[in-house]
Amino acid sequence: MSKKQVRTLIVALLVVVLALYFIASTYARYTTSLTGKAQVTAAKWAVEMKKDGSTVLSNGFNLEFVVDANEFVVDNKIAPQTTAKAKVLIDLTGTEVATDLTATIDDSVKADFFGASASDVTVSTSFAKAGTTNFEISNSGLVSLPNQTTALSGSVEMTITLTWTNDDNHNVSDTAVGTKADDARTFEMPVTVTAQQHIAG
Amino acid sequence: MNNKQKRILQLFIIIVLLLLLYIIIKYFGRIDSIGKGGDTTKIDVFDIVILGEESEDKNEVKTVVKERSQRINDEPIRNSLENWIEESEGKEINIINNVVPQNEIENVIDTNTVDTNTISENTVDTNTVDTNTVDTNTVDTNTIETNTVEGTLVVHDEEVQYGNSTTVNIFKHFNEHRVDNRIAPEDSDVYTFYVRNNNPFDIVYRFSFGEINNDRINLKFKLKKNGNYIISNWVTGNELAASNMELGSKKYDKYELEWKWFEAENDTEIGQKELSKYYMDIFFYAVEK
Repeated sequence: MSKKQVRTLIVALLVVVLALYFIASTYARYTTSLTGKAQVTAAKWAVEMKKDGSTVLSNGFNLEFVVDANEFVVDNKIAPQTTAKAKVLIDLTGTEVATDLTATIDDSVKADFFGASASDVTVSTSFAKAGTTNFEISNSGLVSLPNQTTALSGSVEMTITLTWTNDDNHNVSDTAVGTKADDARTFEMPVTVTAQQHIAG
Repeated sequence: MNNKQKRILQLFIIIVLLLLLYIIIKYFGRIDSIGKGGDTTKIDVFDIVILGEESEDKNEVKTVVKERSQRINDEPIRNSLENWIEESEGKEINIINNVVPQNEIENVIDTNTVDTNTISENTVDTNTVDTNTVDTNTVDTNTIETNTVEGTLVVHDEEVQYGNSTTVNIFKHFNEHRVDNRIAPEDSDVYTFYVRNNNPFDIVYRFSFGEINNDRINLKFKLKKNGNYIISNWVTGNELAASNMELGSKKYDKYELEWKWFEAENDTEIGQKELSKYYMDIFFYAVEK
């Protein structure tokens, strides 16, 4: 083998080694892959509002206010210094979050009807457990979970009380309401009953 | 044979040798004796199982997996994923619960006491720390028991170490107004996990998250690496990813995944469903630098 051939062979070997180095560094590296997985379930919301204990209400429902007996006012009529009540049953069975219950009325409608006396007409709510429940309800309408492993079970009776307080400063506007034509003296009050997931402040 | 012919023959032999070498390496895997390192790390067979345990639409699950696999650039992994998808066709999809038993990991973590930037390599020697004798109030995350997988990439949170399709508890949080393991609108928390390089060599890693969110729960995420946001805007689970993350030998990165369910119009609809689940998978891939 001539010197030239030996040189060529050495060069060729060098090329092979270099190629080997680059290819090896491309393909002969350690690799690792790992995978994880997670899942979470949305808390269930299973609130139903009912009238008369069973009829499930949907938007636009009608509730009838029952005027509290008052010896100075004809039955089922309201006047200054009277109150009226309506009840809604709120079934929370299956709900997995604490819940706030509220009721509001549309102030603009109230103002249209009562005029200056509108500020004397207020709505308040009270709550009571209806039958067997596994939760407690606060005066403000917060239904708390019994614990962190159990969904709510049972119903709440919400009482919406309309109170027309007498204010002698508003006698004129009170009288204006009372002297409306017969068909204009029925007040349809938009009440919004809301059950909302409680979010800690 | 004259000189010219001899030279041509030599060149031809060299080319054939090179071709052979290329084919051998490409189709028969690495040649260990040539590779850098020298540890006993092996390629883990990529196994992704992210399937909805109770998902009604399994085809959708497969589609999501397929889409995600197409985004993965590494050919072997992509092939592995696609093979898995093909194998899954026509079969019932099962969840593989490959949870690392909690007792395999010493839960002695106090991430607040140590500045990750000041930890020297000497203090990160997991082989010398006896987790049984260390005061839990002063031990940092380096004391988590990783000896069982020495010499590999280790990803762990404060409960489990990631393997193949490990179930992790990203959404674990406490809220007295929720039933356990449930989330509701406005819920939020932070999930912390660590990527640790136990190898004697530096690595480059990447990871990506993916979600299966059939009910369009408005969950969004941000991500911090070692205290600094690498994803600072709220993004969906499918947009969570990081690549080209370099990590020195015996070093680790701490990640904080912030999540929040932002209120949306369909929240009530979601809550009213019999079962509404959100699935997330995490995929890590590391390669020797």
